Amino acid sequence: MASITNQGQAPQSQAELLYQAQLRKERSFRTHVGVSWAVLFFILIFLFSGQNIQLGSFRFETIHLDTEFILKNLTFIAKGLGQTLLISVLSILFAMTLALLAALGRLSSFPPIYAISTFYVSLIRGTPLYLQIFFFFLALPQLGVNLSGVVAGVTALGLNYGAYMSETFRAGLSSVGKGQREAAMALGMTPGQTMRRIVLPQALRFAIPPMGNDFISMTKDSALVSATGFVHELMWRAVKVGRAQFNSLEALIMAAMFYWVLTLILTYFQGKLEARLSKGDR
Amino acid sequence: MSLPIVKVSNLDKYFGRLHVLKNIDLEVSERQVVCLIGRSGSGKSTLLRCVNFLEDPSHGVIEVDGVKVEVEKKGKERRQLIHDVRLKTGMVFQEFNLFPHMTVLENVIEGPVTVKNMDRKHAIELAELNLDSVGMLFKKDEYPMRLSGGQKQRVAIARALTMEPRVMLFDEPTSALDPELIGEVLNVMKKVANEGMTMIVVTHEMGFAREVADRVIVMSDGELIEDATPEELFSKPKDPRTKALIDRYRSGEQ
Repeated sequence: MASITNQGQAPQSQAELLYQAQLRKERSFRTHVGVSWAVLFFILIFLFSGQNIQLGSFRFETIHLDTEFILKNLTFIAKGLGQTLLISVLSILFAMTLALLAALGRLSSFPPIYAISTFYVSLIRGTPLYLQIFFFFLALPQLGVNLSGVVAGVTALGLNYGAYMSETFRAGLSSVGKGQREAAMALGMTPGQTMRRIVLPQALRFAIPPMGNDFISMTKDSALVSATGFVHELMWRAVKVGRAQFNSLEALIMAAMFYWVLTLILTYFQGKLEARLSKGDR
Repeated sequence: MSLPIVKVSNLDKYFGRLHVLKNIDLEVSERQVVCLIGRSGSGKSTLLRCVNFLEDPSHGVIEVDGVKVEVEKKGKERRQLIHDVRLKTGMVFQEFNLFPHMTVLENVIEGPVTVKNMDRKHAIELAELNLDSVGMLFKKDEYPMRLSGGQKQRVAIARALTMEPRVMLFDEPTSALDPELIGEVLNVMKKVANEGMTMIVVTHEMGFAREVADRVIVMSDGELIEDATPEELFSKPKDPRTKALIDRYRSGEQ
């Protein structure tokens, strides 16, 4: 039908028809996934809706949440969002710096530099993040070093993520082919110029999407910092009000929703960024 | 004959235990076009890459336009000499090696601006002149990704020329190209040769060697086995290995 009503143009080619069919298939898949998400979300809400349900002789109740508590403490928990984001942003900046240095150190032909880089990565990756966070809050004061909550949290998270992200940078650096370095050398560039002008810009570009993922993970791992009790971010606030009023269920669900929505928003922007980097002027 | 502008003496190169260049002596005069031919693995690319020290020769002497590098001497002075040699040589690679994060124009001015501290305006003028001469000025604001292989290689030639080298080194410049794109690159190279540039060209393009080269040098197993004008070489090759190479090319031509 479509080809006939097509303003008297020649009938659509076989390829065009196949392409249309494929587009329809993809569109329908996305629609179905969307609908299923909505259903799952609805089920989740239903489970926590506190309904009394009578089906013949079978009677059950879904989970009841204390709405009064939720409304009363919403702003208190929401205020932690700023701290969570602050810690995450500062930590990721610190981590990126360390990761870049560690990745460059890994390329060094000077043994001590190479050793420092691998030693750092090995030590950090060989111990739990939870332990590292406590180390900066609890172990350092014993040596007379008292860091503020945020500084200690950022140091621990930054050191930890830096070690993992150095691998991302390393992959970025090795994604730049040998030919690029040779072309720069043939032009007479020094090793420093080659790194700054040719290799790093390409390596960083390669590393941006995975760094976005790391940042998203960081917003959630920042919750671990709450365990020390000195940083009043989302998780700390949820635990505090929940325990105090025996409403941990509500409090934790609220915090979970904040984290989830935050992650969804960040993932959306991450996707945009990735799409922009993958096309265009590469 | 004028003085040699490139002089390679007693050059040896080992890859691990493999002896890939065996006591090479080679002189190239100013304005000469020399084609290096030979089977793959004969050492022709390695020899070319030793001239600007992209490969580190094991021993010998390399002299380019008065800059003499004794390979065995190490240290700071050597680095400076190598830098000077690289400023006197322009290189064109098989895989183009354009910088993908820069536009065509940025690729071409990168060397003059970063290495020679040339004024940006002046560099752009010079770059546009050279892009025009390789027929790529109309793509100056494109990124390399959007160019065909032949176009990329023409930009790469303009990039090398904009450094105003004394000698151009070409390392199989058409080997990565689709057959229909080879011609445009060879034409640009011909033009560069006609303008009087000294060129050393590693190639499999016998037609180009025959038409453009002043000398054709045949390499086999790390040695120069024949060095002659194209007429001599193609009509009466002396070495049986040269004859085999030419026969193979002739049979491929038909």
